Amino acid sequence: MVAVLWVVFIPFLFAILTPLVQRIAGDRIGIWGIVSSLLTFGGVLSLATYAFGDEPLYVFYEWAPTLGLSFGFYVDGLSWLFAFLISGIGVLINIYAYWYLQKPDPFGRFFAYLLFFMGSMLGLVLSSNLIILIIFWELTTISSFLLIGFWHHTERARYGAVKSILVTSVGGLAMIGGTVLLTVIAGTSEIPELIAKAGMIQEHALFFPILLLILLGAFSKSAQSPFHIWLPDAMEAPTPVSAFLHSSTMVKAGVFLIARIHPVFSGREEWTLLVATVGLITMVLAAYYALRKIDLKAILAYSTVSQLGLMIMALGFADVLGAKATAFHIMNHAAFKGMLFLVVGIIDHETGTRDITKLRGLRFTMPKTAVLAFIGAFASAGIPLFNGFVSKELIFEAAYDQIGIAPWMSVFPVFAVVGSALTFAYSMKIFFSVFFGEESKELPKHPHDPPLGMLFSPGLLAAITVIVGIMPFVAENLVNAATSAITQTTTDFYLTLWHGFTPALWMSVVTVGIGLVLYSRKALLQKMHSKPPFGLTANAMYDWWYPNIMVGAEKLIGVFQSQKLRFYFMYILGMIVVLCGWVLIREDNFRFIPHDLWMAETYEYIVAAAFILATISVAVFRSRIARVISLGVVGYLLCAVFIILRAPDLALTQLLVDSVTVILFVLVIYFLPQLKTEKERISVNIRDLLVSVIAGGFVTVFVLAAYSHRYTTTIAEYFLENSYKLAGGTNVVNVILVDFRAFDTLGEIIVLAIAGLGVYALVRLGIRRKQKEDNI
Amino acid sequence: MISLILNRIARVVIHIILLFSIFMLFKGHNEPGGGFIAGLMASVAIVLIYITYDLQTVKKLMPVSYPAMIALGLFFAAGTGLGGMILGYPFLTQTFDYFQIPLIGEIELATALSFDIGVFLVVVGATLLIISTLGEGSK
Repeated sequence: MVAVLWVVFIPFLFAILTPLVQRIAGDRIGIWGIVSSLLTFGGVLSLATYAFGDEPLYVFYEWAPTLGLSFGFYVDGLSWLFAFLISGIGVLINIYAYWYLQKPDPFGRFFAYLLFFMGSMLGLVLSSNLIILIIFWELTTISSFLLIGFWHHTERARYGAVKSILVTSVGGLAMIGGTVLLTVIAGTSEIPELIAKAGMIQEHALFFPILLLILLGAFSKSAQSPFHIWLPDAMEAPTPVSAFLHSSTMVKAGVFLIARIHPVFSGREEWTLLVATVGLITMVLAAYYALRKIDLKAILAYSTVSQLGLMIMALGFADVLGAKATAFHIMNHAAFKGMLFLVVGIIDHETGTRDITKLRGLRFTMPKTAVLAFIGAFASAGIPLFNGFVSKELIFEAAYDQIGIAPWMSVFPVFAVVGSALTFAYSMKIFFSVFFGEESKELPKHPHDPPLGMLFSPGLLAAITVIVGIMPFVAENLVNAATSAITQTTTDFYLTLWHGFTPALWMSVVTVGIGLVLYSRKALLQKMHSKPPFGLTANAMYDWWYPNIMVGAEKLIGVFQSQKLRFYFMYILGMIVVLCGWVLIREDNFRFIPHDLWMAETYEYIVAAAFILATISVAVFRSRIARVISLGVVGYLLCAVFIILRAPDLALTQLLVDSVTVILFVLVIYFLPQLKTEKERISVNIRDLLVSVIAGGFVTVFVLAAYSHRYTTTIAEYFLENSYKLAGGTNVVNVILVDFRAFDTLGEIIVLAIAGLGVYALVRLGIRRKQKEDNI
Repeated sequence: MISLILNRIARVVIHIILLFSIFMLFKGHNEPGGGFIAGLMASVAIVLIYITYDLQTVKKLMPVSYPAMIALGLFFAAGTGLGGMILGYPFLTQTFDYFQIPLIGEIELATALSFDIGVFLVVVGATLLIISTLGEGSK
């Protein structure tokens, strides 16, 4: 139980402490990242018993029980598989990045972001509650934004960062909507409980909208068409980031979510129709794009999109085989694609370019890198003896099985072969065009193999790729555990390299055949490069949408944020009158029972008269200072009212607040430049008067109505009774503030803090700008 | 220009107000007072120094960073809430107990007090930050 908290919060803790540690560690701060990820990885390993045992771990902390919110963690095969990948690859990425980063990059910031991401991602896969999952989900989006924009001095990096956060948040918003609907109809947002209520959810009329909304979130995160456009632009991030976030872990969050909700939603036709079809389209399109790109990282980006499509398609089949194939491919893809990214990072690092047309014959100068690239490319292409082959074979098998369900579903095996043939072609292109041919003489740097530290991480991943490729049964337990979690059935599979002469094998043979043809004709495909497949691409839509939405937002803000206090007051008062008045009318609460309202003491009448006088004088006085002081008088009179009503706490607070307010006002007015008194038009004055009268009149009616209802039981009795019993305090006001309603108070002091810091920042910025202008 | 009368009175009164605000802070659970009131009261005392002398004097007497004070206050308040969570209670669950202390007698210690101290620090920090920023910026 402690281990779960450890796993999720150690990265956050280390991320927060990074700036402090950097003062001591300096450029060696990377070691801090490595240590943190190792500790996390250890924590994940200690959780393995829950993944492989019969019982998943379900830890549960009450968070806001009255709102039905809890903070829980759920460790089963699926979440453990992801946690294992995230923390394991996290270790390797931290090691790699230690050698990759070069001065003058801010090392500390990089590792802080990286750890922040790792914690968020682990929280995402381990949380048991959909709401908490979404919070971590958005945290990964934010960390991805920060990491893509790491080299924010380049325009492309800023463009990519903004694009990624916008596209994924659009889906994220849809997902929040879907989750809220789901929570409302199921009465819970706990994933295990949702799984138990799957039958009810599938019967519900809102099933389809909910599914669609949640899937939009998953598709945008996992870069499914047409949301795929953000991923290629995210390649502006440093390569360790691309390898970690944008190929092996974060982009799989969507796949994870689809797998997580698989037991809740799958089983109806809509599931296959939406999930498998979108996956299929994405897989084929992205593989085609990948083949035409000339930037190595762009090829890998599209290839990642395509592979994610493949996994999502297999999940869409909603059967055990599809789930198993996906679970296995998630693992394999993380290994070989992560490795390929790291290899491209090395090439970029050592040659100074990623342009495939410039890179040639590197096998002479970078032999070790060439071996790694060979393994990665052949695993990606799905050649036997590499892990990609085994899991792709499984996906073929699952796709082939679909033919029996409905005739139209034979598109899945057919296009799976087409997509994989394209994948084969671009994988070959990556390896052969970069490492074979004549040695290129015009590279920006003289190429050579990198230091051992940079070879270690891809080397280890390459070893895993080959080991799993030759002996797939080593991954059996993990795949079985994850499959059981996805399908909620106990599964017991064997993973073998040789399946016999199955349809899947023939599909593989055909794939390689078409792939070879495509590869040999790649020059032809390259020629089509200038022509986009459709005039209306998703990218063009984004580029049209983005500046327009900015202009629109500015206009909209201009309407609300008029920069004039008068209008703000009008909005606020107007809303109060409309909303409260509506409630009063709806509940038919307009009534006035005077009770003993007139039976007041003489001094109470005097206070009331003074009140009215002071209020009128605020409006009548010409001098600003006089107005402020009159306002202060109103406040002190209110204080007197509280004393009469025997509310010492309120009286004290009012007294002090009023004093501070008057001082602030005087301060502001005293130092304010002498402005000309504006001559108001009569119509403006009448409008303001009208607003004041309506607001004042309404408050009067409201108070009288409230007074008439005072005999009904109120919440006050509960507080009076329980203040001492439950909270050990006799001052009920204070007990409410710090105990019963402590959450509200926390919110209030946060608002106060933000207001204080806001004033500080605004005034300081103003001064600094002025000083700058003076200097010029 | 420093007003003589104000100067003399302020020197005495400020101490009393500050002391009383701390009294209010600790007494708040059972008698009128609490972190919010105490915070405002302390701020008023310090504002009195500002009015009587100037900002430099305030800074000399209280060489603290107000934003840091706000942060510390929020840390206290939120930390109180998280403390309960670590022990398995909902966020911001408060508890209390009575202790016997020699000479002083029985006192009550409530976790609400540490929450209140957080409120106190935020209120003082925010008020003084606003007032000092406005006072400084207007020069």
